[in-house]
Amino acid sequence: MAERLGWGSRLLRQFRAIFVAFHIVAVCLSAAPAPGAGMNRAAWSDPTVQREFNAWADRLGQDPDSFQDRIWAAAVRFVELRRAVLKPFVPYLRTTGTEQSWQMFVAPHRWPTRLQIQVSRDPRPALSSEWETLFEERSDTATWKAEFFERERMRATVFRWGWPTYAEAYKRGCNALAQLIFEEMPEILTVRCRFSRVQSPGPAKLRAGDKPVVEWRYARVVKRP
Amino acid sequence: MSLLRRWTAWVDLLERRESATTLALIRIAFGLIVAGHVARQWMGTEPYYWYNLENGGLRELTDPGTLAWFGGAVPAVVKAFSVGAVLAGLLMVVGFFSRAATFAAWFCFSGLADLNGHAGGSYDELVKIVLFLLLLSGAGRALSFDARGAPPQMVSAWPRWLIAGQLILIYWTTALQKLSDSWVPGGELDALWFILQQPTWASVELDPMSILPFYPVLQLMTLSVWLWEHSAPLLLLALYYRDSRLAGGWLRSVFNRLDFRLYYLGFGVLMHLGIDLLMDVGPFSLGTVSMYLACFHPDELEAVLQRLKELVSRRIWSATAA
Repeated sequence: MAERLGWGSRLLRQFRAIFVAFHIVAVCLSAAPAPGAGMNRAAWSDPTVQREFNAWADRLGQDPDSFQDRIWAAAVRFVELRRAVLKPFVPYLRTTGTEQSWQMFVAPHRWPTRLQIQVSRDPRPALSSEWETLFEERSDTATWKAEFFERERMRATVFRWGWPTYAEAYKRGCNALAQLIFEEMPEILTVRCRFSRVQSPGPAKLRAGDKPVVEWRYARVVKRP
Repeated sequence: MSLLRRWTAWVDLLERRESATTLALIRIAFGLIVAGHVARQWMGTEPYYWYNLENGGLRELTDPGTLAWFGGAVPAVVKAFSVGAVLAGLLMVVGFFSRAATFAAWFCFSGLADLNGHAGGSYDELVKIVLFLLLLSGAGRALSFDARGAPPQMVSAWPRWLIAGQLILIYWTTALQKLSDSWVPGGELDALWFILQQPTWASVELDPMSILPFYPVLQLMTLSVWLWEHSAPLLLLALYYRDSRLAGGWLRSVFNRLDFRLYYLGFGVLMHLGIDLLMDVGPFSLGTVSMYLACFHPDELEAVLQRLKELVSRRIWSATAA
């Protein structure tokens, strides 16, 4: 015969069942796909993003521009709906650290960027020969604090700096790195951060022997205060 | 079945108890992950991404979260949280004051991970979620200093189910977001080809010419990964069938005879090994593979541990005899 439970145990069982059900609903709703940082139209101008839109517009037989406008309108409505549905669960998800975000490699980056940090002893370097490369992503020679930049957390930071959405964070980050350099190297008067961008070759381009074109962007110069 | 009966069945289901071995193994794995990962952030150069701008940080941290209670994202507080996370992680490994250690690991790790969302990845969410679920569990009641000398103890099974469910949710919802023309069947299936060329995540920079002969293999792998992630709900079905193996049905019988879990998770282990060999994505792979343990009943893992123990003692015995 089943053991009779006291009111305290019965209440605890009910509370546990409510809690587990609430947790499951909260995490499932929170994990629903969301555009996240993609809800920024400036980021849509990136060639990687444009290529995706054009491929889908082509596949669905749509005009690329109006297709993007329709996607934007749908995304705005979806994000608003998602926010409204999630609202009652947000305090729980935030407090317990159970927010869900599983946008992982949703699309390959075909125009990846690389951070380069250069220094100069000249307060107004004009010639390229007056710059010395201190750090460059994946370089074997320009390796200032390479171990630091290779940490996954720094990789994620630098990856974001290469997108227009994160322009302000990049500006502050470059300033902070320049301050580190000024503290470490008293002779340095100017620091320049910039990104190179090269299109990753597809197999056809590679077989054709096309030379990659390096494009420099987001140059930011910081002078010793 | 009426709503009330369904609710009663749900309440009864959560009463299920089992040995703590599976949860204990997950506790040990996540203790190691937290301790190792946070310690690594201090090797060589300080973790400037966790500091305020005024302290040499890379970003204005408008919300220092729980660190604000102790003075904000200044080096001394960041260091204290890091030391706390490492020590708590190690205590989780040995199972000393397990629940308090898990709470400290969750509190310190969350505090650090939430400081700068730009300097993190999905591994932060993964670790925080599993630590929270372990905190609610009886993970310290086996393979621990806390449980030494005590008879085997039974703990609630639902935290293990929630960890397994979380794993399925991760794979399935990441798949739903892989809408790129490079991933979907009918597209170019060149996602892995381009991902491997991305310098940000590459652990070794590959010359595209050197991987060109493997392009068709990479296309096949792209399709396999996409299909495998999309089929994550089948793992849920497999776990349910495994749990209700005495009920009839040909599909249940096929799933159980094959032990679908082993195939699904085996593919996952190979995929994560490949990721970790070629890319640096933090402790994500180690974390997710550790969550695979939640798909196994403690009895199954205890049998494996017993076989391993016998194997090791046989080896030691033969070495001593020789």
